[in-house]
Amino acid sequence: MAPDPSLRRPLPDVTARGALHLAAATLVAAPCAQGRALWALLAGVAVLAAWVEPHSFRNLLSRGFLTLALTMAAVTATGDGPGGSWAPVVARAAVLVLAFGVLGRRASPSALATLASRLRLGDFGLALGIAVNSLDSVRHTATGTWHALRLRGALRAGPVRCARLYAVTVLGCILARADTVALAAESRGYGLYDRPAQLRPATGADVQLAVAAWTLAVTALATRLVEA
Amino acid sequence: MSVRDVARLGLLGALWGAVEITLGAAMQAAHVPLRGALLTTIGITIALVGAAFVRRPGAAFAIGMVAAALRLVGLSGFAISSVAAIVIEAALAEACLAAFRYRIGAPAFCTAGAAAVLWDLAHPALGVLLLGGADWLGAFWRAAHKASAALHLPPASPFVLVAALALMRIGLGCLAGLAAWRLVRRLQARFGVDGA
Repeated sequence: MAPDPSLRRPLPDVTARGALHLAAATLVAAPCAQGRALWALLAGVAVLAAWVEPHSFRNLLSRGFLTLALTMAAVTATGDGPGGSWAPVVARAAVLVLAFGVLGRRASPSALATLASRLRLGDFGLALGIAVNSLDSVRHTATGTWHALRLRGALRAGPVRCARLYAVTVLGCILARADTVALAAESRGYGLYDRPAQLRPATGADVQLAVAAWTLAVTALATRLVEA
Repeated sequence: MSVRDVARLGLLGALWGAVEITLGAAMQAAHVPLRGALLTTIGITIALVGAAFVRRPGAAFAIGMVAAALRLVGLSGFAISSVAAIVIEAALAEACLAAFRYRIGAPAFCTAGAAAVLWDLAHPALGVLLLGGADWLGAFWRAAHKASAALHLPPASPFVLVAALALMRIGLGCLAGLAAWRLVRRLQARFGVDGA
């Protein structure tokens, strides 16, 4: 019998900011951490991931991660490994997989676009916002064009000609749509007022996650320096 | 940068992102070999077409960044590696275009395409280098030699294999550059020389 969903622990209200701090801290610390500091970092990130986004542990079952782990183990087993164990390499990869798993599940495209605008990357924020809003129509254009060409017998023209027809049609549609999007944005007065985009304020859980992540990273780096 | 240029960057980045997400997933499910190289070939063709139409420094890189951001939020498994690969490939293509002083043409496009697709071969090595250090690269190389000896292959076979894979990627990259250049000329005939 499945457990009652209402009895599940509510996940903390961590936004993209907190997840970005966790990803940045692990990106800085993981390649440098060694020995006990590395295992402490992995344990700390695992605890944080379990607290914020337990589903991120599923990423450890991905084919890429398992391939890395098994290849490293096989190379070590053949006696060609560089002296040390393969486990630290896999541990570093696990730290990054968990941290970016949290980021991937907590950051929405619109949050990234707003963040880019706040970082004075206004054009990139707008481009990302347009991309997010148009992703579905772009996919629709790509599949619709393919079906239209197929139904009109373009496949009989040979693969190269068919591919060229397809690419010209899809890119032409997208460039034409860009003109429409630009006209719509300009007609609404985009760029007249330099009003910064509003990002959702940081929550208490964001602050806790950021402090914990950077504490782990600084500790790992300090341990590495002391051991060196 | 005009709003139209930004819209073009966004939409072409969305196209590269859609290719990475949908076609990439389909190829993974079908166990297509050289998946990364094929996806990069398509993506870099889109980025080069965008660079020709936007005609601003950083256009190809911006398209790659948009695609990487879309890939990031559709993140699953070990996909952080592919996000990093997209960013580096776009940066390499941009650097090649900058080396040609943004003179749009087949040579610049072929070089940019070849550099970007060739990165697909070097990317796993960079991952191993960052996570395990240079010792692990040597360990993989020794293991490759041992495996070729066990299979009774000539000692030079790992070199030949890597060289063949690199040449294949350079060929794919040049193909992407040429395809992008021909597409640009056809699209310019449709939209006007400057894409207006």
